[in-house]
Amino acid sequence: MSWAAHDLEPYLFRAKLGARISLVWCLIGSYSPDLLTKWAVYGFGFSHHDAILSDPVQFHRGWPGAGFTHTPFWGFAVTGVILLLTKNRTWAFSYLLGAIAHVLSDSLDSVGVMMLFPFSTWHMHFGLWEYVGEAGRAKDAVAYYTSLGGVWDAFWALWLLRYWRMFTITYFRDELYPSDPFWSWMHRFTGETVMLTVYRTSAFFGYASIIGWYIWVLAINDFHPHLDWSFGAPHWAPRQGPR
Amino acid sequence: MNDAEEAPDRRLHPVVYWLIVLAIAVALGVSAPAFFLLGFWEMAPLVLFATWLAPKLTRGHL
Repeated sequence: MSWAAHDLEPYLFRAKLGARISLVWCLIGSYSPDLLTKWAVYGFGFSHHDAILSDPVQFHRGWPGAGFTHTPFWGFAVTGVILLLTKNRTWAFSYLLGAIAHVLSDSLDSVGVMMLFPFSTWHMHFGLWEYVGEAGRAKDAVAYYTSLGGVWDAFWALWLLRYWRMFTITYFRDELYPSDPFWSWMHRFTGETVMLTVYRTSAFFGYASIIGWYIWVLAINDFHPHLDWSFGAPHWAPRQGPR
Repeated sequence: MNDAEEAPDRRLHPVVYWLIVLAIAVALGVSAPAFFLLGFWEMAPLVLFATWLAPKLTRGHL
């Protein structure tokens, strides 16, 4: 699975595609596959791990299970519903782009995603890093940020730095607000401070979490606190996913 | 001459301000990852507070 990449990718799409992207709907699309499933994969607790499911990997990415949420099929289905309800093509396309980006990002780990669902349950997986979600959140953080997963997050974070001006109030007022009716709708209920918070928080969280997790994993945590950027790392974790 | 005009503007540059906020977020996250490094909702109160405070502590907008 990917971590902060899901928070940052939508901002890059907005930076590159401009008014063709509704940032909020792209973020919803990017979050949606994990929205109702990830808490169950990790179980209760942080440093200790109380499992909720007997097979969290199957639940998260497989079928039977909730793995259909990580498929293009699901992305297109929800996009159709959004289009039907809102009649807004930009919102629907933005949701789809976010959801597909999530699916493609998650295909990079060892479990991958059911790319051809519902016609096949075959998992497209590139195995750049090991899927370790079943071990709980703390160990998954160690696994992800010591492996190429963390590099994937850093790649998006560094790329997005080039477009830092998109986080200014000027950009929000002059570019974002006029191009997406979501913001004028939101303005009926709240002021600019809250709207800016909604706009910026995912990116801010993405940067804070990448830096924070790297420090925690390498300097605070004492469970395998070493970088391993080899293909399929970390190798201390049991192999998950198709072989 | 007006004293107010001569007083140096001690408010922070907006970029410096947001880097300080980021450093605070990272420090909170590293000290308590279970509370601050988990997602959007955990980070939103800090970003809301920082956004509200920014015009009072910084020169110009960011």
